[in-house]
Amino acid sequence: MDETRRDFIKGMFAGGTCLALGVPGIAQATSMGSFLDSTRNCRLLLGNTIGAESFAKGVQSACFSHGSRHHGTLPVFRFESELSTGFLHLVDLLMQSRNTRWIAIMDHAYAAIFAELVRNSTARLLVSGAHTFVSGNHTALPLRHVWAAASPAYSAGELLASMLAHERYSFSIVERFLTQTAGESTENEALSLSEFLSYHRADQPATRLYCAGVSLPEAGRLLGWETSKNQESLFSRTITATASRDKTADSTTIKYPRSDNWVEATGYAIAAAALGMKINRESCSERAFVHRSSQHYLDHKGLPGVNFVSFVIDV
Amino acid sequence: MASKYIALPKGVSEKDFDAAVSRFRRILGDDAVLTSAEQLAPYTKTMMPVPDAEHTPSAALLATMVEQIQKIVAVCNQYKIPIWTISTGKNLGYGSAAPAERGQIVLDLKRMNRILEVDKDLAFALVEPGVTYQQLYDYIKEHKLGLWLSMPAPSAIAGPVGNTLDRGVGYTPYGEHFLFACGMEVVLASGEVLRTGMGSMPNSNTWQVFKWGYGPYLDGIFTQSNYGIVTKFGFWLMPEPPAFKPFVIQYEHEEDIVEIVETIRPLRISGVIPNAVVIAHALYEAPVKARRGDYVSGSGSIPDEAVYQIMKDHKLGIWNVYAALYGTQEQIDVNWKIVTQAFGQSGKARILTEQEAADDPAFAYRAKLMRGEMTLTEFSLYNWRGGGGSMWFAPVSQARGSETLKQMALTKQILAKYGLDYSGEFIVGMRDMHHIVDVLYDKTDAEQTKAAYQCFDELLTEFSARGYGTYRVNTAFMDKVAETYGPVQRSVHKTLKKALDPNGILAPGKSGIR
Repeated sequence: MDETRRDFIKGMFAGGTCLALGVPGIAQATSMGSFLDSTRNCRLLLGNTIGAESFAKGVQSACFSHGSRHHGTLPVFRFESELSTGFLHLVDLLMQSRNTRWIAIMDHAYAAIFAELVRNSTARLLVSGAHTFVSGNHTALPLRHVWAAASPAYSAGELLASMLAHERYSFSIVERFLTQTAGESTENEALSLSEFLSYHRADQPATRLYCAGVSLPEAGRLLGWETSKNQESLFSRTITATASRDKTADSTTIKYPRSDNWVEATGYAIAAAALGMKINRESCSERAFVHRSSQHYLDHKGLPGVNFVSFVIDV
Repeated sequence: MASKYIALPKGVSEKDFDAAVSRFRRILGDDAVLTSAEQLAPYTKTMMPVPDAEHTPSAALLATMVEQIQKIVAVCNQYKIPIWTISTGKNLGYGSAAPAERGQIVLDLKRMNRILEVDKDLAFALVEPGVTYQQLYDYIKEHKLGLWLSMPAPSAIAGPVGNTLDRGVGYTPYGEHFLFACGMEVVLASGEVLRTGMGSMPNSNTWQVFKWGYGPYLDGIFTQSNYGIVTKFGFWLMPEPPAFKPFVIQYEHEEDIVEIVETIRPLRISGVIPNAVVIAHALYEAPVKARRGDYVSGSGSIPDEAVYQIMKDHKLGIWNVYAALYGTQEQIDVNWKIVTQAFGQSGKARILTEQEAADDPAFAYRAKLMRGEMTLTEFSLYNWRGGGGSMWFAPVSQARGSETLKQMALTKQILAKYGLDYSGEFIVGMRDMHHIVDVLYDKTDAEQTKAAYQCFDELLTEFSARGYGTYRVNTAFMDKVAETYGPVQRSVHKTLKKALDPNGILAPGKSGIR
């Protein structure tokens, strides 16, 4: 095996090793301060999963709409190798991509491996998401997204909720953040999403819930969240600061194309967040959007049986 | 004011934590002390059906030297800060790299990755905790040492130290890994450095060849434990045999597990079949070739009819027995005759050689594992249902057919109650079987996640009630499993903990020990 690749697998991904090979040393912490710098080298990694092409279409669409610096498209890297050897290609890719922000999509098998490689390389994991569409006789909503993000600054949930609600999907989106603040221009007010009623947990105001087409208890059941105790609701309605948000509409409203393909919409929302559009301005630790369409036959549209994992990382 | 840390250790103030982090930075350097959310996010992800927030670390420390670890434990003792040590952190399905409790600092030893010695003649290795199987495999190949590794299914990215310390298994004749461990170096909570066995004697050259040393044997108390931090680890390697013959034997009915085990046991105990044989259910092998959604949709566990269809479509048995013969060609020829006669008696077995199963991807990866080669194919299990949820249920069984049938039936029944599938295999030890079941579920589905938790809890309860102990478990259920082994063992574990780590700084919660 190539010596440097082995070093990577060893986890010895230090500046000294890379410099010896003529590769620039590891970039220092890409924090919010250098957020825009990191997106100059944004790339798209497409794994061997159904929906990868739709996802890529969404990403490129967001890039075209919001990322003028990228000349309209992101460089795309594909890996479709077998599991037995395929991870070595991932190692190579990560090794050769210092100071790069990767948007990635892959199946769950590769995601388990990729997450380990990210930790080994001491890369920064900004957000990872699991995305599932299951049609059929099932108690949960058919389309489900669960994200874990370093902070609300990397959130794509609000934008995706808007896009999917517009297309009358029934869906749930759950976002969990390791830190609550969304950045310098953070607002603590709830979002003002048309259709959705907003709630916050009375004893944990940083937990937010947005419901449309479902009652609060039903949303709680679908999410596995406790919404009442001893017949008392744990959540309170949140009054949205519409007027104040209107004033900043230019900076908070992201325009998006219509797409009835949920995978494409997911790619769009993730890329818009990854490209630094600052689409979220709400500080919170946990947030969910639950939407049930009045047109239930639509629960079977889209790409059933598709599930995949997304990542945004800085190497 | 919000904390600048994503979590804090229980009972530790932010001021004290700040002071400790400053000390860690002086010991390790700034870039080896991770505290930001983006840096720590890769340490938070687990596959368990509990909130990841319960396992969020406060920081991660990347040590490279024993002396640094000695200084780290001194700081932790001063501020009563708990540390959760990982080597390569690939304990997937058992808690991954995340700590047992929120706020613990991860001591990540991935950068301690030196291969210190590999002795061709005596066939042993001495390595640091961050060494991966892939790294050691490459080293052995490059130096043409003619030695084989034994490793678990995540092979390339996992490492021998972490796997052996958690008492993991592989698939070669050296598959019971701790049986082949020989000598450790351990940093104790006091900061002292212990070398076990012959390693305690100055100038000894027998550290990696004689396990026992003098006096009570200590190595065992540093496995599945939190009594010390292992910084060097010796183990034996298998000399490459002149010939190797992997094979698979397929059976059509679940009850055939009785015949399989009764046939294998004498062959295994006598050494005719020397390796850790695997008896894999069709649903354990199916993900290599298919996805669940190709056959069923909706809730409930997969029906037997669908399983039979999968078997038919993908040329699988309901049980698929993977084993191998090792030695000279003459030895293999003799043993092959014994194996085929034993399995051929009932007429139920379909025996396939490497030539006959060469194109089968399931056989290909199993054959690789049995000869110590790298493959990550078993990760395809995570694609079976999708959704990222996985917990290994790992009870131990006697190597007796009637027992394995009982365990399989009970597992299947409890899984079905919660709408989950039986993705199970038995790994045959000398006289025991590790019954390994991947409880796969969709983490995006709240109901199924809750069901998975309840299912796992019931599996542990029902199995322990029947005297079936679990040999290894994920961090969310460690206390429960420890409880099943009774109060005396727990009390002894606790006594040892107090004696060796009075401040309780080393991995509190590991194996239910605090």
